[in-house]
Amino acid sequence: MNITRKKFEHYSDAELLTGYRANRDKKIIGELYNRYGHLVMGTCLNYMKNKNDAEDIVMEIFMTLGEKIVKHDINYFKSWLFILTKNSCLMVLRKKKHTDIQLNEEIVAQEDEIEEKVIKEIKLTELEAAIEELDPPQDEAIKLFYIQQLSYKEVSEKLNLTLNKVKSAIQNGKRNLKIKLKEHDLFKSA
Amino acid sequence: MIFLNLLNRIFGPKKALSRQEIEDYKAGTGNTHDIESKAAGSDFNDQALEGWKSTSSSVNDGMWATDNKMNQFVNNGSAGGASTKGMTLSFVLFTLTMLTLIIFTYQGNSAVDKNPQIVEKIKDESSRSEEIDFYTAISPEKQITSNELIKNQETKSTESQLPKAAVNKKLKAETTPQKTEVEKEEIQLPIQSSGKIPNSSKSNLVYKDAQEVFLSDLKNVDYRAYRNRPIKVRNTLDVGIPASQSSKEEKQEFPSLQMVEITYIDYLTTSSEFFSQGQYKTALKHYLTILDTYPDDVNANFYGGLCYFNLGQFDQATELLRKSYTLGYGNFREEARWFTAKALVEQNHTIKARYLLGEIVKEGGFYSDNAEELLNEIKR
Repeated sequence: MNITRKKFEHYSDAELLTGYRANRDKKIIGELYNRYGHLVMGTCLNYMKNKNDAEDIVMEIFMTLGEKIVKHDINYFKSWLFILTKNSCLMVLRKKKHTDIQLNEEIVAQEDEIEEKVIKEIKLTELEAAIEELDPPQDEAIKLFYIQQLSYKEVSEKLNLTLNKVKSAIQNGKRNLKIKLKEHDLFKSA
Repeated sequence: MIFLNLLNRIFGPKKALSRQEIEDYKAGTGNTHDIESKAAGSDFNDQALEGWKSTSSSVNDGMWATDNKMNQFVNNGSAGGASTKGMTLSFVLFTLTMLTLIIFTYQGNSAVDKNPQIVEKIKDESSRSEEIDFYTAISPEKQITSNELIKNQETKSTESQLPKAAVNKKLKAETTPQKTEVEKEEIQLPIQSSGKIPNSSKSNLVYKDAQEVFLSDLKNVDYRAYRNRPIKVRNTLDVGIPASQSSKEEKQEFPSLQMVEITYIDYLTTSSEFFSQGQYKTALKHYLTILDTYPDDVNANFYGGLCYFNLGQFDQATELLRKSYTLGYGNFREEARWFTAKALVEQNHTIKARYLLGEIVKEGGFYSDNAEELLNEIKR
């Protein structure tokens, strides 16, 4: 799937969406597939635990993507696509369980978007202090993962925790760290 | 400003994981931390990584069917359904027929087959080389020279406790003949690989030292038994054609694109010579060429990192130094951590430097005094 790469590889996602709305060029869908197809497939594999179902959903998503791009106002394509993928998987899973509950694909979480807000410049000691304020093992997990740049496995061995506990300590630590930094008004909104 | 980097690392937007990164992660190669960091920063990356981890097939194999369908969708405007199956079959048959034809028609014309790949590679290499030529060396008193490294190696061995010193002496005594052995016996080297490198599993956090070999008096990990792939370099003025290949009278249509293969140890020896002569740009190009073939090579990562340091490219220096020690190959760990700390200080990354220096002091190794001194200096 590298046919379209040369032409579009330097375009941002937003530029590609604008381009598609203007020209309906299917090669743009091809480029979006090149960028995210494997992430959509991986996510589907994670939900469906079945390669055939996952492939069907990937194709369904990308073959109907053009219509959705034209119909909806999409600010952050990657996050939007992730939610679309998750919802598509859940729909199939629920259909399999013979339930009629419809999921709204428009529920687009803003998780990733928050990360893209401008981070205010702060003094080193303030971040250091905020990390120190975290409860164990979140403090150590954050230090080892982000400052010392160890892998999950190395952090788990060093802290004597399971891999899942390390992942959740890092996620929770990040969330709590953000709360602490916000308390001190160290983040500014974009 | 200096903290912005760390903040961005924790909260900044994360790029989508590529197929190669997922593949590397599954295979246990590549930069695990970077991949996990991308996963920790984006649910999409995280879920996708989990999904791929749960399957035994490679990413490219797993994507093969959808790649083909998307190809058709993009180019023909249709995909799926019964008619597509027929089309897929025809497409596969057509591709196979064409491939067979190409193989039989162009079997002997190696220049035409290989040329595009080589041109691409050369383009990459030459732009990298041009970039390196553009670097300016930092002031000589700040440079990490081979003399400093050799002096530290010697001091380290004399400072060690008596039994350890005896072992070191023995090692040194062993390494001297080994050095000549390298020069003399390089052709008869029993280069073989079972594919599994000893001590490569990360069962605990004890860093083990692998066997060493001294090239231009510089410490290197002795990888000879595990490096059976030769280093491929372009036949330029700084690299001669090995005698074993000089008899080949093959007519080269593109002489400037000719690639020569040099054994790992030969290439490493030349690289060490350049480093010890202070030719950091040339040495760096050599070490990066080694990393093209062996990305996890601790020798090339360590000395390449030092070259970057001496050329004032501290970001790249810390990146390579970080990869220059693993649990199974901890030979450069002390040095790498100390020089990383120095690079961080040079970049004014005070918090990271303080953290690392604190760790070095805590460990009480060879560089702990220097680290303490530097720590006090940056605290002032």
